[in-house]
Amino acid sequence: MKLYQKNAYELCRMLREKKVSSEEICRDVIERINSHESRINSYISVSNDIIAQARAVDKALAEGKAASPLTGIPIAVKDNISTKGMKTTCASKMLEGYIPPYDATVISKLRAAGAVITGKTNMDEFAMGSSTEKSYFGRTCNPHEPLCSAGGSSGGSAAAVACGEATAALGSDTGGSVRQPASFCGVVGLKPTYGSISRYGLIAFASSLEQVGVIGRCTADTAMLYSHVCGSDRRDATSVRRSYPDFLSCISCDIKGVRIGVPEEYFGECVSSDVRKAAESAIDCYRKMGAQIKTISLPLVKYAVNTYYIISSAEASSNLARYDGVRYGYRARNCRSLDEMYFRTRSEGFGSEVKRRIMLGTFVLSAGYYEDYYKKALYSREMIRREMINAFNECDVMITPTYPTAAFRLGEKDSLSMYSGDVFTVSANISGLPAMSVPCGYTEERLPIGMQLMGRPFSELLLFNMGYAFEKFTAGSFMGGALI
Amino acid sequence: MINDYEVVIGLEVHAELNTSSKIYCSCKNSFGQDPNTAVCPVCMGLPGALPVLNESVVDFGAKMGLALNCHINKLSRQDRKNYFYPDLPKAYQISQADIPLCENGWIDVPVCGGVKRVGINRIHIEEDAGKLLHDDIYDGSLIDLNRCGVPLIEIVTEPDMRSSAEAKAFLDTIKMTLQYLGISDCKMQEGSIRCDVNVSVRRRGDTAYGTRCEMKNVNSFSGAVRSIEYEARRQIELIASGGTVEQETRRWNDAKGESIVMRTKENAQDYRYFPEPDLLCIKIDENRLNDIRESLPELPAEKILRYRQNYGFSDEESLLIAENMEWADLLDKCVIELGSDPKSICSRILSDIAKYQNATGKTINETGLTPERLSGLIKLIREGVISNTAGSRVLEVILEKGGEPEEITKQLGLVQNSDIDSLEKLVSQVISENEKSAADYRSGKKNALGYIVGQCMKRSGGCANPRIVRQLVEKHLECI
Amino acid sequence: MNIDVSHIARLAHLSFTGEELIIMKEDMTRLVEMVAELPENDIQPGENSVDAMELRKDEVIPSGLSKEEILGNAPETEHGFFVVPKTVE
Repeated sequence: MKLYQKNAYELCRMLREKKVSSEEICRDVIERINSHESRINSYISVSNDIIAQARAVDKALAEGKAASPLTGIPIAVKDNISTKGMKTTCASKMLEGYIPPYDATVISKLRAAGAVITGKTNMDEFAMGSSTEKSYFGRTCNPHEPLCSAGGSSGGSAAAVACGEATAALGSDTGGSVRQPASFCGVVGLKPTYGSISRYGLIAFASSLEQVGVIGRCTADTAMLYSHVCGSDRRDATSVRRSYPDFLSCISCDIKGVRIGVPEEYFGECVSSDVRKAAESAIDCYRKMGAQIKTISLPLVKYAVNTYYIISSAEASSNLARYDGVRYGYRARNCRSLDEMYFRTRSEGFGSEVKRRIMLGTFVLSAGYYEDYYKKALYSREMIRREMINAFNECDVMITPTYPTAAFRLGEKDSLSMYSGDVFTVSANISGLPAMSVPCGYTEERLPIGMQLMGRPFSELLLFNMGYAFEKFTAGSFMGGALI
Repeated sequence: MINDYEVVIGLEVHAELNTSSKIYCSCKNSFGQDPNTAVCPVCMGLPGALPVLNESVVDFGAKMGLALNCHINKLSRQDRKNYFYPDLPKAYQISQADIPLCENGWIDVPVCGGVKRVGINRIHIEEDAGKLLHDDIYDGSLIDLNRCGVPLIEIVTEPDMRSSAEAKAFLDTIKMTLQYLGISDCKMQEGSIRCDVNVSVRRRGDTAYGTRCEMKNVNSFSGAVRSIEYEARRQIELIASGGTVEQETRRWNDAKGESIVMRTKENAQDYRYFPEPDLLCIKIDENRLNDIRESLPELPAEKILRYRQNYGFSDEESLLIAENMEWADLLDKCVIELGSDPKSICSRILSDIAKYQNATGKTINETGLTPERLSGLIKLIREGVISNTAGSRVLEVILEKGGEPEEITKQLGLVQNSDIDSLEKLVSQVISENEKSAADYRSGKKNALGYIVGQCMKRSGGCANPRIVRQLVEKHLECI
Repeated sequence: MNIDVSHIARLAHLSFTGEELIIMKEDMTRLVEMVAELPENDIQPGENSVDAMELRKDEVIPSGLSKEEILGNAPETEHGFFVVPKTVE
């Protein structure tokens, strides 16, 4: 087995036992990147100092410096997370040449743990989209089937991990942007509890909905990466002050007696038969493992997409107003007045999907419409959140399909019709709950299918246990398909 | 015609708080640095940066709220005010809309010998924007972001003022209050205190308000007075000639003494306020409020009223002393702790002491003057040991070098001579040397008295007791 | 519903060609109709769960950014200032 195919915990053991160096691991991954990038296009920019980073790690290890499970491991980072000295573009013409002068808190943590950052991955522009087709730097293809989408907006991160161009990756999840690409690419994707990972340095799309997300090939890798980047941050007022366990050492596959809620509204007509079968089969596995299964009802889910699009667009319209060509980023040429500079810069710098969302967001906040749209959506949000929290009186974790279908073909869907597909993922963002997609099957065309596990706030350990138990029970048969 | 109308005024005052760091980041809160040097990702509005609220800003805001008798909201919220301008890096200002820090207060403003109660609608906290400079040589505008994120409080009054004098008095009182609380240095020339003026007019006796206009770019308190008077006249003339006042935002031009329309109601800004998602609610608990309440000093409005009532000072005297915290402190110590006569202290402060400080630029602290020494000097004058004029000379020495008034008086040989015998001799001597003046006096020219008294004072080197001298001169002139 | 897309575009400082504006109006109309469906509010005012945040100590910590880092991403600078075309007051 090649090094790029190995999971992080295996690589960690090999590094500790000095069976391999970080440089060797990274050379393998670089080779994989070189051979696959032209087909997959996971990366916007590959780091030009991967080997230098790896050598520094190897030197430190040789000097006896303490290592963490992340030390020397190649990690890819979504290109909306600020990396000091490295281009950070959000896949937009607006930030094409932007080089942040500071690291996001999660990047500082990765560096402190000795991770090797392989590069910045492709995404939908400003994280708005579900297919990574809306990038200024081309689309990302699904490693399982290059004619299909890798999902979005963290498509690049999911594809890189799935095909071995990185061992694990960071993404961001505003309405499903880590979970859905994870399910399309056959990898694990976690959107953690809101406030558990610092947003400082995550270039904002919808502040109250998004979190940095974690993508790994298996649950253990995901848990390991999460434990290194979670934690309160005094630079983020919305981050929660709390201590977290060492997830890797706490993970267990004993889920006997766990109460699983299956919301009936998530298994309706929009779900394709492949996806339904895979999800139901997974639930059956859990039953065999000793969990209790119960059907529950979440009727307010029919308002979730509407609520999500109003709130996220409103926040986006404000968060993206700073892109005006004054202090950084794209500026339209030969402008004769300030107004011309503003209007042309923003119209030339943003893609059409971004503009559409800004327009919708501006509308719902504008005079005369604020009460009927934005304010109403805030109430709706609170109602949905309460419904979800109350549901956890009857169960400990919920299982749903991550997305109604497996990966669709590139170019097949237009933007507006993609919105409704977010229906299963947005509730977790609206409510701030943790949710994780775990591969649980394939379609007839061998496209991966993911199931979504959702829990109470700060119940990530339970989600990890559920994922880990499933992987063991099914002997990992739904993992690693694109690593050949 | 003008008297048929009443002018109604409301004010919005912005004051920069003198915290050490900015409101949402740890950059230095200071004035006059090189451009774009006191900045960081947060106040520059770089992608991904997030605001974190400075606790002192909340404390200072609550302190002002308590000083203005407001209700302090234990839970308040921040909101985004969205608009585009090059000095606003995020293209929104973090402010407070629906639930401000303080609401529903009032302040009694000493004005025109009486007191005017002005209602305070709200006080909220927000961030300042940067500076836009227009270069004449260079064909563009220059932007300095150092001021981005400097903390501001905005004080919004009820439309309770009815004259430019009341508005000026209100502004003076607010400025003094901010200085007394130590939360703002109020340097108008540095822009640390600014105000917008809202003016409407109505016929006397009407209860409904007229349409109001807002005026911006009012850069001084006297400018506020001028703008109010101009706007009131403009509106009255408009109505009197059959027109109607439109709701407008106008820009005041102090040099020209006029205002021009900036924005009409139709193209008013839509700020699209919504709750700031990067910040949670601001909580201020009862204990903290009590601590702040206990730390409040006697406020300037109270002080001025106390001076007027208890010490019998005029409006102007009260204001001048109260405005200067060192003077107020000195006065109160001399009067309350040392029993001096307030008017005597007041006049010394406003004359000799003020003159000395103007000439040397020193604070009272930096001079040799203490309340004990000042009080002692006043006592000596009262007891007739030293004359008023001589007292000024002694005071000057104390200010410059310190020292005790009695000693200095003796050293300078200024002890007043009140001995009748020696003064009799002096007076006879001087009268005998000034026969002509004596004759003038007896023939009806009463001014000659003053001349002779003056000569006696001069002969005695200023030490003769002028009151006694005058009596003696009168006596001698009458008798002979 | 007749959405004034020109006005919204102006607020958002975006400009569209005539054709683009027509398409945008169609998209917006569809979107707004879609998201308009929301549940009737059954939450009493004041019933909202409220989270208060920790405040930061008032202390100065210099950012450590160099002049090059502060101005380096700007399209145009002059003597330490950012430069934009002249505003119209």
